[in-house]
Amino acid sequence: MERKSLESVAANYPYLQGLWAIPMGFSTIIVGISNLQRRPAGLLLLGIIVGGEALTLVAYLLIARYYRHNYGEVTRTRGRRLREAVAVVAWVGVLFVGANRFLLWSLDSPLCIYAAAFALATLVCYAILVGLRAHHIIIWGAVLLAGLLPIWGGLGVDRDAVAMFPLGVALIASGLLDQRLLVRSLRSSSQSIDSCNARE
Amino acid sequence: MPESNDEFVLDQLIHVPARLAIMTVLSSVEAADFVFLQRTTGLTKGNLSSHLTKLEEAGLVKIEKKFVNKRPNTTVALTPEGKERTAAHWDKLERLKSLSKTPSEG
Repeated sequence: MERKSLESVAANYPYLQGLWAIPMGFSTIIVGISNLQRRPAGLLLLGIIVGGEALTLVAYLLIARYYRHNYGEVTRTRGRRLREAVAVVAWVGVLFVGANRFLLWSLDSPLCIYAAAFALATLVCYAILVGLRAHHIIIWGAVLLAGLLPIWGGLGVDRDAVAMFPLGVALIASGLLDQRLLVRSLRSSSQSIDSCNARE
Repeated sequence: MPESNDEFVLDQLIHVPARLAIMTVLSSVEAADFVFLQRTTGLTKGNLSSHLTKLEEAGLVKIEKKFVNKRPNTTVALTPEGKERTAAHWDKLERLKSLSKTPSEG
């Protein structure tokens, strides 16, 4: 039985509930669609936004119930809550301050600083909350690099709205892999106790 | 050489793997509910209940039972003594582990 792994399973549990990222990812994609210059018009757009957000809300409620019934709940320590606050401030700081003020956000740029800043902010957030895992580095590192490639020039004003699509997909993929990590870490903690009991 | 044998006497109440796991999980959060403890330890309801009762009787955990959305919910948290004894127990285990790795002096 490993002390560190048991402690980290409980401490990281709130942050590895990756299913939350599925509605979050879909919401991001909907924001992308609604911000396109050449977006669907009238009732279709309204249907996409209202329908999409209603589905997102239902998904949030179902996911909350799923976690509560199947995995239970923990109350975080004051230290963890403080760390969360630091992570949120860092995320907002990197995304908005970094991208707007210091990286020269420009419509003429062939780069997508918004996507790169979003990926960097998310990596910083994960690093503060749970420590970076391989899938975080691969997924968000790829988005960061994609944002810094000079391939976005032809999109003009739609650049940031189009960037919402890969960001939404990255959120969903990263969340699903977080969920897999959570399931595996819970399984290995209970198996380590089983093996200790068997040796007794 | 250790100064006294007491330094290496293990806390028998906590040393049971299931109880040590419960205490360790609880030491990294403010509180956890019954379902979460069951998930992390893999214990059956009855087994977990009986370990929690023993820990509560010893004053190491505090159990709160309430209803959330008309469903029973049991929340468990370590008491200050529970926190102290869990940390002390792991310290002893780690010292014993490091002693067992130290090559014996000729």
